Amino acid sequence: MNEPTTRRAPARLLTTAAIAAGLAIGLTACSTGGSSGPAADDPTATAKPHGYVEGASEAQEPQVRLLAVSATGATAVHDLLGGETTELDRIDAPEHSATDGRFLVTSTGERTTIVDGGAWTVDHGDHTHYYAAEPRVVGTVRGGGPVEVHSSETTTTITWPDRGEAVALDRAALGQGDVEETARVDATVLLPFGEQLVAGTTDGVRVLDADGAPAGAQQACADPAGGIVTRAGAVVGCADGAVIVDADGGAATVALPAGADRPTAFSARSGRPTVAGLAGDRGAWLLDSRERSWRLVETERPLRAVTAVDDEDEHLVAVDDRGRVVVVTASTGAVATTDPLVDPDGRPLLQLDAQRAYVTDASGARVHEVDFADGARVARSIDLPAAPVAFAEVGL
Amino acid sequence: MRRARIAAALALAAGVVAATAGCSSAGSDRPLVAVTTNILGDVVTEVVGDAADVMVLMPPGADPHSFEVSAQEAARLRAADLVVENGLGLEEGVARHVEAAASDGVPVFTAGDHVEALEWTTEDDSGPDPHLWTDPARMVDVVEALDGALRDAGVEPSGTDAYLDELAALDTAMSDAFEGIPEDRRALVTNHHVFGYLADRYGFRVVGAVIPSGTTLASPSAADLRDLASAIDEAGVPTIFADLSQPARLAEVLADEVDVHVAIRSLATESLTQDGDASTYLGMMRSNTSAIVDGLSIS
Repeated sequence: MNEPTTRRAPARLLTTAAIAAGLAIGLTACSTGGSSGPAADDPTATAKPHGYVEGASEAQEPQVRLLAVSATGATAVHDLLGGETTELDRIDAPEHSATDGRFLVTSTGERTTIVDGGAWTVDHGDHTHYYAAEPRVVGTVRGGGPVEVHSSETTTTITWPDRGEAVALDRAALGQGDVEETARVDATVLLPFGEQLVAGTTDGVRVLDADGAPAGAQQACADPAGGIVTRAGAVVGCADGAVIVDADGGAATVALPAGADRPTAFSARSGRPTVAGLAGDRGAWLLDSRERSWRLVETERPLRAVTAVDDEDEHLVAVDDRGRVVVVTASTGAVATTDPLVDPDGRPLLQLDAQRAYVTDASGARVHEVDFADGARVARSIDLPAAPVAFAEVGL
Repeated sequence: MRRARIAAALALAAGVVAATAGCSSAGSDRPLVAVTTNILGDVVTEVVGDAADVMVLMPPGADPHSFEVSAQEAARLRAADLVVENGLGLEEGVARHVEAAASDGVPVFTAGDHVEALEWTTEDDSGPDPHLWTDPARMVDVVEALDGALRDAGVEPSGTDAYLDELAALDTAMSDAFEGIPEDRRALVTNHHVFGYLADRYGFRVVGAVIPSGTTLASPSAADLRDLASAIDEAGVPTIFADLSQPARLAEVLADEVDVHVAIRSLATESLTQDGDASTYLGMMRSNTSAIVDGLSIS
């Protein structure tokens, strides 16, 4: 299962352990002077240093980075805050890719590679944690083809829809460089949701326990394709709409109008309840997973990629069939469009956070940073070592 | 190769712990009080005086939501005479160790059980606000209840009365200091999420705002700053309180792009530091009070 590629030995890991040792001194200080302590003859007793996540540090703001892979598998990380670019180990030349906001998963026909962007966010409701660690190539999983990836705080799921196979992996282990499979499911959609899994299978949408065994609701869903987890539920796309499973395990179908072109993928700013998908050649669907309603946003040109910001202005960011970035302000209907930036014939790569969207340049080793709140202004153009065919914004 | 190097580093870490960790388990016959957060650790240390050894689990400067403990400390926790925790969901990383100690029969004192808790709400979620220490009056309630819990656990605290006096003096000092801020300026525009209790006690409004991130500041526009600028405008304050990696850059951009002129200060929030003003609970509260008063009084 696990075929690890070469791993780097980042110098910073040593520094982190040294800091952990320093913290241990402070931590164990107590109100009285010391007599001799318990002997640490068992190093495993202190093998988990005090702190947050092994090898990671917490930051005050999202540690956003771009993780990019070239057509030959050259892999690089660009720090969007500091501006530095670091090259990682070369991986298989990617044919397909997907990201969960921390890991970039790429695949060939035969195998799938997981790269850790080393930056992620954990949302705890009233507060948020931002982490930074060393990026690295984690390892590979046998089996390839088009791939999707989704994560909760503890679990990462990888799905190969064409083969109807999916796995759940231990996310903490992935973060430490190990691929540890916790469940394997026959499904075209697999989402981690709380302590459970939500699967789109030939039997419809099923709630599974962490080991992949049926554990709850089952809801009819023809031809399940595309899924996303929001704060309001786990969403699975179906031929006639979407099934939404809520935190209590209840499942409900939100139907599309009869005859509508269904979306087969959903995309949104991390965690937000309103998600977007393509509506054939007419524009985009917005699915509000909290209100459980669909809304069609029609565009002048057919879209190739779309994602929802779900901010106060209800921005929607898309790439059209001419390679232009299109920003729709759904609250007012205003539309702003860039010049053609993206190769209209390739599969457009579009990522975004609360303030900026990122698209790959049509012709070169560049990524454009678009300020969607400011009339689709190109805020920066970021040079990379090679033209990306797979990329992810991580730290989300 | 990587594994070997990490193992070496961890062995070093273990060695350091061995050399310094043994403050009280051996060689002291006093009772042991284990405390989760370093803020409560300071308070408990003041209250018990010489009557017990106090083991504080959370390192200076750590985040109370996410710090974890070693197997060794978890073992000592289960052997403690009393465990003191904040509760209300604060200590996510050590909650299971506290539960394990409780199931071993160790009495657990939960500060949050002894105060009137506030609720936080977002559009998707809600829960009790655990950051009760930002109100010294609520800390009085905690200390009064703690005194009883210590006595029940066989610890005769010697510092309760003196510390209650300190808390009363702190409360008075904060009230007096905040009185000097014009009422319409008693607003905290902030990305800190801990000041709900302080606001509740002293009549502040907490104005949450989207603080533009580092990527925004690289190439900002007025649109990026609109939310923050309108929050500042509405609050009518000359200072905002935010934890930022580039506060000077944000202030400059606010002035250039939207003609909003504010100072940006950060406050001590949920962890005591090793040294300095915020190395004790009382010191942290006093330094935050003067930062707020100074920040909101400038013209």
